Amino acid sequence: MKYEKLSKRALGCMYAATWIGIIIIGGIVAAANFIFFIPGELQIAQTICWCVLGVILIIGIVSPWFRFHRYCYSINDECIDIKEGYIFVERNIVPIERLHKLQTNRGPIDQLFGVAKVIVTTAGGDVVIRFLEVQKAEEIADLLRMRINEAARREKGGEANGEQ
Amino acid sequence: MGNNSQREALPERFRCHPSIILEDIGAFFIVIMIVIIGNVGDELGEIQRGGWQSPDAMFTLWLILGGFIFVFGLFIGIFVRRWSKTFISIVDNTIVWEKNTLNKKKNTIGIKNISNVNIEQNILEMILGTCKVKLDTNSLSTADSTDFKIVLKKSRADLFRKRVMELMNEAEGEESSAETESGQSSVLDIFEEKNYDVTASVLDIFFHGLCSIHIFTVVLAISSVVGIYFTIKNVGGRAGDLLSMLSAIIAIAFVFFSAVYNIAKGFFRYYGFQAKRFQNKIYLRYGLFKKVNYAIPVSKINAVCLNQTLIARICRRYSVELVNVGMGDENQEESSFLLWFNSLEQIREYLNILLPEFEMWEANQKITCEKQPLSSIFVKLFSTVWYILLLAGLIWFFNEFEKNFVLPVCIYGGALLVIMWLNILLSMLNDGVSFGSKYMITIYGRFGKTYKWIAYDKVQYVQLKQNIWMKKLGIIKGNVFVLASLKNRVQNLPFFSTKNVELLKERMLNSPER
Repeated sequence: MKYEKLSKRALGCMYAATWIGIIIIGGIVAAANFIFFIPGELQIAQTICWCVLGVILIIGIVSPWFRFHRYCYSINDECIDIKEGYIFVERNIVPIERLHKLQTNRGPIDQLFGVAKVIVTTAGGDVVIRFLEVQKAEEIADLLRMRINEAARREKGGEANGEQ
Repeated sequence: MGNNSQREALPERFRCHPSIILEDIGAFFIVIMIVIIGNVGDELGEIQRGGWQSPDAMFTLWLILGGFIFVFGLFIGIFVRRWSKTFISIVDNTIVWEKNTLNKKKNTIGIKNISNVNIEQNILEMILGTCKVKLDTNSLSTADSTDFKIVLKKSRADLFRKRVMELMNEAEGEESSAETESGQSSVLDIFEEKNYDVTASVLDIFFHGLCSIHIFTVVLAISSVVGIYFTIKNVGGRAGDLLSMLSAIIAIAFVFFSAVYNIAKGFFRYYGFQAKRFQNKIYLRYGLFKKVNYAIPVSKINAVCLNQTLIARICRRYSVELVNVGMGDENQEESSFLLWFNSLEQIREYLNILLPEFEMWEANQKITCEKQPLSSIFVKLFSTVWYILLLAGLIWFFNEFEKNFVLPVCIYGGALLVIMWLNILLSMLNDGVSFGSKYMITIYGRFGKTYKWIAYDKVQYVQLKQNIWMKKLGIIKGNVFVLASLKNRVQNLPFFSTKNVELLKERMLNSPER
C-alpha cells in the first residue's frame, strides 16, 4: 500500500496552530507565576511553573516536526488509511463503503497556509484527513464522492437484481 | 382488544391520545410544586410572624394561590393547544409528525431507516388504556434519543405499528408475506399470539435478578447499614446531636434504598419475558410495572454481547444484550436486553432460534479468545510510573512542609497504587480479542466479564494506537466504531499483536454484507 506524505505548507500550518495554543497556555502559566507565585515567594510553585513552560516550549518545537513526518495517508478502491500522531501514532482505517457524507473545510489558519481538511462521515463517527493542499483536498473529495456514488449505484443495482 | 384493533381503521392523519396532556401536566405539576415549596417557605414564615388573620397575610395568600392557578391554567392551555395542533400521518414511505403551534415543526422519517419499533406502557397508561409508540432510526446523530414518540390508544397503537412494520417489510423488498388466510397481517399477531419461541418463567427471572446483582451495589447496601448502626451508637442519647443523627441516617438510608432498588429492579424489570423470531425481526415483550414490546430488525443489529456479573461467573451463567440503535438509548432503558442469565448451552440453543444467521460459535465449542500479549503488562505498568513519581513528589513535599499529612498520603496513595496494579492484573487475566472469519470477539472484564461479537460488515471504522514502547514490543491497541448509542458506539480493542492488524483490515474490507 502506497502512503502519501504532506506538502511543506502543512508543516508551517502545524507550527502555527501549535504555537497559538502554546502562547495561550504559556501566557496563562507565566501570568500566574508573575502575579501570584513570584510576589508570594512560593519557590516550589515558581519551579513547577518554569518546568511547565520549559516542557511546553520543547513540545512546541518538537511535536509539529514529528507530526509532519509521521503523517501519511492512502486512499484506494477499498479504504482510506490515515496514520498520524506524536507520542501515540494513531491509525484510522475507513472502508469506502461505509462513507455517508463528505465535507471539505478551511479554517483561518488553514487559509493562511493554503491547506484544507477533508472530513469523511460514517455511521460510527467522523475521520479527518488534515493539512492537505487545497487542490489535493478537492481532488480527494471528488474521488471519494465518485466512490460513494459508485457504491450507492452498486447497492441499488443489487437491490434491483434482487427484486427481479 | 385484538378484535377492537381489527374493527378500527387507522385514519390518514391523527393526533396523539389526549392523555398525553395529563402526562405533560403531571411532570409540570411536580416541577411547579418544587419551585413553590422552595420559594414560598420564606413568605409563609413572614405570614406566621404577622398573624394569619391580618389583611396583609390574606392578600399574600390569595396572591400566591392566584399566581399558582394562573401559571397552572396557562400551561394547561399551552399543552392542550400543542396536543390539538400536533398531527401524525403516514405518507407513502414516510412518517410525518407536524406541530403547528407558534414554533412550527415538521419531522419526516423514512420508513426504510427505522431500526426499531417499540411499544411501552407505564402504570398510568395501563389504567387509561393507552401506550407509547417509539420509533428509532438508524442514524448516528439521533442514536442517543428516541426519534419519534407518540401516545395512542392501545388499539390504535397496534394498528399504527402494524402499518409501519408492513411498510418496513415492503421497503426491505420482502413480499408482504405477512398476509394470512384470513387476510389479516401476521405482523400484528406476533404480539398477541401465545406461542413465543422463548419464554422465561418466574423462577428464571428470579434467578436472573440474583445474577444481575453487582458486587459494588451489595457492598454499598451493607456499608449503609453499618453506617446507620455506628451513627446511632456514637450519638447515644444526647439530645443535641439527635437532629444531625437524623439527617445522617436519612442520607445513608437514601443510599441504602437506592442500592436495594438497584438489586430489586432486576427481578421485576424482565418479568414475563417472551421472545420470538418471525421473518426478519425479533419480537420481545416483558415488564411488570412498565410493559415494553420491541420489534428489532435483525439487519440493524451491530453486535451481540454476552454478559457475566461476578455472581453469574461463579454460577457459570450468561445474559445476552444487543448493540443496535433504539434499545437502551434512553436513561430509563439501561440495556438492550435479549436473554436472561442462562447456561452457555441454553444460550446457544436460544440464539439459534432467535438469531440463527449469527452462528456465533460452533456447538460444543467454548468461546475462545486470545488473551492480551504478556508484553503488554510492561506498557500498563509503565503508565503507573507517572503516578508513582507524583506520589513520591507529594510525600517529599509534605515531609518538608507539613509532616502530619505524610502518613495519610502514604496510606491512601499506596492503596490507590495497589488498586491500579490489581486492575492491571485483572485486565491481563480477563481481557482479550480474537479475529474470527465472521466476527471479531472482544472480552473485557474485571470481576464480571463481557464478551462481544462484532460483525466485520457492521464496523464503521477502526482506530489503532501505538506508542514507541508498544512498537518495540510488537503490540497495538485501539477502538472499533459501530452505529449505536453513545455508550456502545466505541468498542474497545485491548492489546493485541501487530501481526493481526492486516488480518483485521482484510476481514473488515472483504466481509460480505449480511
